[in-house]
Amino acid sequence: MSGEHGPVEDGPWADKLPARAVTPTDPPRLFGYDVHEDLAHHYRFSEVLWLAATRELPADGAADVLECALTYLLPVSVAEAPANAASVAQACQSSLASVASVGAIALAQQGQWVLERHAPLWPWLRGEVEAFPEALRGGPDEAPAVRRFASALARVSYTHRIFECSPGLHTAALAVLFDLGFREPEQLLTLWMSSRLPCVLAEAFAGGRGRLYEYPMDLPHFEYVGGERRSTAEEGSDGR
Amino acid sequence: MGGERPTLVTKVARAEHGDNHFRGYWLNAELLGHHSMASIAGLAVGGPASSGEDRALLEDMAVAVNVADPRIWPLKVTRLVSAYGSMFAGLAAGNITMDRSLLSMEACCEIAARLVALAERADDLDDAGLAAYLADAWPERRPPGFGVPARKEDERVVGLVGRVRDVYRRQDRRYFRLFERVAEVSRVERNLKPNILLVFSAIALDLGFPPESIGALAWALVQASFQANAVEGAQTAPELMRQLPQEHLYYVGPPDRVSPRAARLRAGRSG
Repeated sequence: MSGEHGPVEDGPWADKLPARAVTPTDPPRLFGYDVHEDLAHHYRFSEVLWLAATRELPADGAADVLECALTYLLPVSVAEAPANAASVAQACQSSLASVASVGAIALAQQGQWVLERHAPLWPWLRGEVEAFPEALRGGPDEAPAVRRFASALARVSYTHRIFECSPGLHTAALAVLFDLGFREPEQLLTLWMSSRLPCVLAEAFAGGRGRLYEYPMDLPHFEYVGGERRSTAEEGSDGR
Repeated sequence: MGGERPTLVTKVARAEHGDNHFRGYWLNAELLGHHSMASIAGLAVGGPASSGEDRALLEDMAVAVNVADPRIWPLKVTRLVSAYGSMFAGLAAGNITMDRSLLSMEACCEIAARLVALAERADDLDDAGLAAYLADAWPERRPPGFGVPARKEDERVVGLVGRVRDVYRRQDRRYFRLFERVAEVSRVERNLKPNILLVFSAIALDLGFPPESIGALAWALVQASFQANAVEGAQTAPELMRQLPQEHLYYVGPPDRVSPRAARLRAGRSG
């Protein structure tokens, strides 16, 4: 019924799928390193995560700082959309994979939104601008958490000038990650999701499956104001 | 074997030079000008190419099922996720929430299969016989297709049934007639109220949709509800959806506690 050749058959597409990070072999290699016989023996999970995000292994000791930063990024309460949305899916008794998928999608969206908000931070961190972006200063309620973060980093012998600028907590954590070498948005998004997804899932899976009435359906309330009632018949054929 | 491309069979579509195939038809030459969103959606999920009164009824089904209140749980998910600015993410997340959930349309497939099984003997059953059959074959306290939470009746059922009775008066809608009997007997004998899934499944069977496609048909036709919420959700992107204020939360998890390592450290310092 159909012809032999269409635009797909005739197009200049590759005929094989490239594998760029992980060898599709046994043992698997991640950016060249044997995962089973090398990385699993000699490196912590956070260091392998570092490799996955940057394609290179960290220097000795650097993972201590990374783990501190990731731990401070980790908490996601149900107030935040990723955990909230995943909790709704759990209340709906969606499949486990769907609960996790909802949380992951929302978390990726949140991560991208946070990174876009922090666009003014990168030039400051690179020393290209002098003034710290005012929009990224934290409120007084964030100050204790930021002090604890600075203190935790000091225990692994790490300091950063950002702590002199009264940043928000996420801003401080992103600055530390940037300083460690995670400079590309995809690297930062990888760490954002890796650190926070466990809490999103923890919050969702702690809820009762199928318990719709435990979820506050009217929070927030939506006030319906309708839409402008127009029809093409009223406007005429030219839309005017 | 070496060098041969792995191949799968599809009935869905194929891109061709000059026109495209879709479900056995040429898009431009055969479908364009003869179909709408609802009837293309029906074709997409493996149903027939509907026309005339059948297509009009399918359009009505598409309208009837679109209850788009943003507080309805899967639509709430769409709102939450689109609050970061992407209608696509909101749409995807809301749809994923439907997977095997209490609110999914997959039950339509089971309902349709039950109606088909019942139809084979329904003509031989009076109301008492039908009640006995349903008690045995649809034994759940609330069988699929029944149950109307939070209100007296499913207004979608009222709307759609009204259209079928008033407008689409053909007497050969066998499954719709069966739906009417099943709904009435279930109301009298078991105090059950039909929901949209039951009447939707019955009408879809009358329109020639195979039972296994009806869940997908229902899902396809409710997309306008997701789309409306995804678009407004992404356009408005309210902070309130990204983060709820603290005063609207309460904690019910484990109480505050100290980790074993922290406890040992503290004991070491004090000892």
